[in-house]
Amino acid sequence: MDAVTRAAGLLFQPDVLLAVLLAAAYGLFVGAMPGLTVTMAVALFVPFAMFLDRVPALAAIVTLQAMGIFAGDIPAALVRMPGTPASAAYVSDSFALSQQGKARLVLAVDVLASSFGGLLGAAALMVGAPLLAELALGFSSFEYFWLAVLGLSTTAFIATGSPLKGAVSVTLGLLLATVGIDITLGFPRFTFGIPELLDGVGLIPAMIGLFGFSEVLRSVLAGRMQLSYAPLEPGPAFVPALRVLWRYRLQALRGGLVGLVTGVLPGAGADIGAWLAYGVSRKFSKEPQRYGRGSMEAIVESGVANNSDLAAEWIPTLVFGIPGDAFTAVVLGILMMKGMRPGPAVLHDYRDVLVAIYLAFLLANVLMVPFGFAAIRASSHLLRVPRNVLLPAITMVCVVGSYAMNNSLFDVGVMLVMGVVGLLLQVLGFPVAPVVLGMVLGPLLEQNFMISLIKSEGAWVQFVARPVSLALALLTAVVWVLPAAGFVRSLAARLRPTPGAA
Amino acid sequence: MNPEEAAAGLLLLALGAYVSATASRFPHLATGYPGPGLFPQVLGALLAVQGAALVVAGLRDGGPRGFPWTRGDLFNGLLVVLAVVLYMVASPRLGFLVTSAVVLTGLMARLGAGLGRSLVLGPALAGALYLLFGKVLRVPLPPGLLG
Repeated sequence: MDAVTRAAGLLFQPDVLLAVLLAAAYGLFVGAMPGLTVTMAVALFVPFAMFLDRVPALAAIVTLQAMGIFAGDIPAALVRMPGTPASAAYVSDSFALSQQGKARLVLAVDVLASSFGGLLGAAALMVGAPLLAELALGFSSFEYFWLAVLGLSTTAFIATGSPLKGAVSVTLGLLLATVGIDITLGFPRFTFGIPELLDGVGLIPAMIGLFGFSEVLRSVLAGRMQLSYAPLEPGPAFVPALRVLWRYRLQALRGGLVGLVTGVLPGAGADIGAWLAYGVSRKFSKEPQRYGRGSMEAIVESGVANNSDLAAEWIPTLVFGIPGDAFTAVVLGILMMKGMRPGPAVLHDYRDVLVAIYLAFLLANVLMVPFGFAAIRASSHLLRVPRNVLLPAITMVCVVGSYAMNNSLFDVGVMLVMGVVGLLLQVLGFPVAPVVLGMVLGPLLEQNFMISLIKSEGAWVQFVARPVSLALALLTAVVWVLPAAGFVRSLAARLRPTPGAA
Repeated sequence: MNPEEAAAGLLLLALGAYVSATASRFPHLATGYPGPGLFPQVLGALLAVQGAALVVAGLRDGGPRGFPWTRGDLFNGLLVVLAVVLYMVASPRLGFLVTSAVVLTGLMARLGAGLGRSLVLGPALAGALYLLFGKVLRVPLPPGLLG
């Protein structure tokens, strides 16, 4: 209880609350803009995080994440463009309902489902982080090696799209991570004589390029500077939305659970949580034919899932130092910058800061309701922001944001190159988030592999000799087998003659 | 056949082979264990295999999707890239305020915001960014002409 009082004292300061309020507005704005993702929002937030103290910086990040993921639902319902990838699963349902004149109701349901999911996630973080930290105290290099492999496998194979392309993205990220001074001998790898590359490819400039600049390029290439949006119907929405949520309370809880599981699993982010919840929901629904054509049930279940996922993402990030997705990869970088080395000890060493993070999650998801309803009211203005002014402005913010880390124009160049690479990857159907996870987990993977190899003196069986490392290895094997099984099934389906097509 | 996918696969195959070959010449640990070369070698080989698989998939898969951009939009995209290059070249001499005002105004006008509006909003936004990053966050932006 003492810790809670101290943490509340840290959080409820005027400057911290101001940071939270500004971050809420920032998160809502970025989330509501199609093409601007929450990952980009946090990557561009890094210069601000450097400037702020630990608690206001982390509380602001928690808030912008929660608000941004909700706000992604706004253009999904009104323009049929998901504001963030996490809203993509139910975009057809949201838009179909707003075509039926229920736009305001859909958005109100989105707010309440997001808030409920966020609170569920916060509870899971408070309970789950200490439990997993207990487990992690006994981890050695073998377990960390497998955790990294598991995270990379999940992001490659469970991501939407083709497993082969996901695997390519992971490999490219891991390769980028090998650039610079190596950890065993201090040998410079792939630096091409460029002194700036001795420290490796900067993660933050790379992320701003991959998630920010590449989206600017994509929007410019798409050439749509004006969006047409569905109007909101008049009338109250809070109570009707509450009724919808109560009617689908079972789905809400189930979606929350799916979100929590994907969150804790390293490598799977909120977008995957939403897709999984959507699939589960359709499987158990009494009206599966309505999915994709305006199912409120689907919106509730996946809308809860993508927000309950968020806090759960922080568990592996804080406890193992293994981020759950690209967003928490940035969080990991900011934690390190603030001198908080993630790992089981962080729960003990920075107890007050952590409890303040828990409280920030609660606060952000309670604030979600008034802020969310205000954002719905302002949505038509938000979507009217002229994109031909917005896109040049974001271009300059990407430039300054990548420059600000080391005051180096070389980093601006990294941002530029990664932006073009990110665009090409997306156009060719390769997912971008696994590249970042590869970059973050690469050094951890290599380090723990080399330590394990030397420790075991080349006896490979040592890698699975401990119970937890064996369990993680088996879990990894499951992740590898799932897409292979899907491939075999689709092959079998192709070989079998289709009925009626003789 | 999907030519873009096959071409991407070919490129990845070449990159993987190059990485693997380069890394095989990295030094070893004195104890006989593999050293800095092990990881890049494995990754290069992996990338080469994935690239080959993509070539196969690209040759087998259905029709080319092509790039759906119009020539004008493609030109605009190129201009955005060039604007960043221009900033990198010019900002050390001209400074942040002048360079970013030029970049912002030019891009806005080109994307159709209207010349008058761009001439007002471009420099205004440059000033706002200067205040936010240069003054509030104390990023040492290049002063240049106005310094």
